Amino acid sequence: MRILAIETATIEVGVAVADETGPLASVTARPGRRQAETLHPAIADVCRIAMITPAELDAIAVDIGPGLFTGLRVGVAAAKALAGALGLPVVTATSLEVLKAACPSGLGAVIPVIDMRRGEVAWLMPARPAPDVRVGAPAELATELAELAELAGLAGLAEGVGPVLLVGDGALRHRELLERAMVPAPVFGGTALAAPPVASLAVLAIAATKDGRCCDPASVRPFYGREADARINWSSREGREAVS
Amino acid sequence: MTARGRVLGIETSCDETAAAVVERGRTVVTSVVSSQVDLHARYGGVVPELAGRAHVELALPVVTDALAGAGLDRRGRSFEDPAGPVGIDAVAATIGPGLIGALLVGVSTAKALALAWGVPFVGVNHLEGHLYAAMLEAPEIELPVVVLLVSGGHTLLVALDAPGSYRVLGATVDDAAGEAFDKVARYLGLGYPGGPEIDRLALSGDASSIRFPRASTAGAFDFSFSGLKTAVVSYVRAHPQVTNADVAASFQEAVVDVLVAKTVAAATEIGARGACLAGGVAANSSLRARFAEVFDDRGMRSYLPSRAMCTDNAAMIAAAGYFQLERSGPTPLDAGAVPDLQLRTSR
Amino acid sequence: MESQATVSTASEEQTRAIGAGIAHFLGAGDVVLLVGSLGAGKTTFVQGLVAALGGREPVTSPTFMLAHKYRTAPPVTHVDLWRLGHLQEVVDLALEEELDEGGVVVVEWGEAAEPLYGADALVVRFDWGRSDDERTISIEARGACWTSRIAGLREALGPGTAGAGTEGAA
Ligand SMILES: Nc1ncnc2c1ncn2[C@@H]1O[C@H](COP(=O)(O)OP(=O)(O)OP(=O)(O)O)[C@@H](O)[C@H]1O
Ligand SMILES: [Mg+2]
Repeated sequence: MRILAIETATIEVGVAVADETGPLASVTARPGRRQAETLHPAIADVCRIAMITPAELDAIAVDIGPGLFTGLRVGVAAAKALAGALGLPVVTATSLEVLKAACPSGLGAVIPVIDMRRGEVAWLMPARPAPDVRVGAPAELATELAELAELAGLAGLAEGVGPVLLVGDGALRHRELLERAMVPAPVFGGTALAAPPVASLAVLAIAATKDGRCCDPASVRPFYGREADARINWSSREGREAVS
Repeated sequence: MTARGRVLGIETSCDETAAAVVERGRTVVTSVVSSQVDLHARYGGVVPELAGRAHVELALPVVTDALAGAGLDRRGRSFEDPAGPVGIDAVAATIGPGLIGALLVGVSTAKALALAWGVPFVGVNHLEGHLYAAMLEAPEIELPVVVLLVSGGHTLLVALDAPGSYRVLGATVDDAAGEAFDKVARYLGLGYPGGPEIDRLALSGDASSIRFPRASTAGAFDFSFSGLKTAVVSYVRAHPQVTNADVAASFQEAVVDVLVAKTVAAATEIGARGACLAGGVAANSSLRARFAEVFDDRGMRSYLPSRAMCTDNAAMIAAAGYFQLERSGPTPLDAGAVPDLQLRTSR
Repeated sequence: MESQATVSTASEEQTRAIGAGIAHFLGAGDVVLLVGSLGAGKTTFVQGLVAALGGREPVTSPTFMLAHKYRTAPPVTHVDLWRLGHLQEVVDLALEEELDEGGVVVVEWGEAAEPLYGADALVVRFDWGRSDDERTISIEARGACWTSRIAGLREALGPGTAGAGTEGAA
């Protein structure tokens, strides 16, 4: 079982090949908005390093977000096309799941926080299922953190469990605000955990394929995390009433 | 490239998601455009009409349909021989001009397909693609020709000397012709897109009832339609009783006058054998009629491709990709989209 | 402090000059919403604005492409929402990414983007004047980072500029 994993949801472009023994090769870059320029050469490079051809792959994994729209579209489009052209299934994971999976377990609760720009972040509270992604202002996250600390205090859990670990570029960007949100203060992941690591995505995907959690590439779509149902209320666009 | 020269083209620069298979830049095997296929019903999802999101969902289904039309499965293999070789020799995609979020979907899809199949990728200028619309439907065409490209997003006059070799003669300095049609239509309360409705209404109006301005521009072959749009608004404000039919007919007359006059002047200047229409406005009946008549009178051929070939499609992208591959080879995989790509003279 | 200013223009060239005058107040992350009916002069205004920031390519209407990006300093993304019907389509343009990368976003038919950007933006309104070539242009500063610039803006727009509530003097 060999999987090619594609990560373009946030500030990093990453490609990895992994099998049951773990990652075989990976390439990571922070190319700014040049995701499309960087991703495809990286796929070719990783295959070369892992000494396989695309035809020898068994599945494609992709981070479907939330994150930045431009990168997401590049990565998801590439994953769908590769899987379609090679006749392979796709494994998807959210950026928050991948970030969380990249953290050491058994210490404290891990809360991944992704920077959505314009003063918004996406996060995943502990013990919530993966689809329960929250998107909002950092202040809303701070409120949830305070509530979490209070609950833990009531249950006498504050000690022995260890502090909450906040990872992701959203946590780093709003560090000052979030630091003051709870007692004991949360611990912050470093810049290495600013973006979801592609090797973690690959390892998650290997486990998922074993459980049969694959899908057809045609059904894969990005998880944008920003839905706006409203119709635009145009009053100015039409000129005259139709004269018959 | 095999002797068949089969190129898969992908177009996602604006509203349409499109894919096509074309042989040797001349023979259209299949051409699929998302708006013509009920893909939404087949693949589900609430898809906003514009602005990028739809392309991600539609690219793979549209490519799959195009491949199927060429007798190939999603893996590019013949349905008769699924273990055989890939039946596509290169993958071409529009790299610009267009909306970045839309272009990137086509570029990323095309580069991934090329990687998977081990065939070349070619990044194509959307505007160059439009130049080949007439050639794809009229293989007997004699060059050079003047191409008038008139769509919602572009208005351009180009001399096409040979595949891959062309001269840009002029372009709009403000609004595109198709944009002027749609804006005037909505202003008159005719809905959107209202270009076709103007065409229909104009039949019952008097084209000489209002003398709208024919804009002059600094460049002899440039165009300007913003002043005309504004003149329509001013006129209707000042004459609230005027009928939509008279406004539509007079407006259309002004647009067609300018488009045809400049195309004729350009054709004469470059010694063209004929003239071609391309772009969505090429569906306008008055423009088609006048174009054919004027070039007939001068003993020149006029080419009026079908609506499907004039509007955004991927067959023209596959054709442009084929010619580009022949002339200058593949595009490296580290190429991205170029939203502000211009059409420049190429010899 | 007054957060509005009004100026009148009697020609395309004057409208371009007003766009150019505002251009020099623009910095990374700024949003300018242009509001005005068909043919009111929004694109003309942007032509002056982009040229003043060093744009070389001709500025044409972005209505069909939805957005044109200019290699100016700071980079300007010129957006037009006239064709859109849903707020989702505005969200899908991912303008946040342009703003976060240091860009300026100037939006024609900007009223459609108000729910997303209206709280912190320069709103420029275009109204038809008495003759065909006259327009009144009013600017309104929204949010702290714009209100602090209004005095400078009013000065840049010249002696014809009036505060809110008064008629634009000649
Ligand atoms: N004082 C003025 N300022 C700007 N434009 C003027 C003025 N007087 C006349 N005009 C004319 O009005 C038209 C303005 O067109 P423009 O395309 O800039 O408007 P717009 O608001 O962008 O329209 P749209 O709603 O189609 O986007 C031009 O044709 C211009 O010549
Ligand atoms: Mg405009």
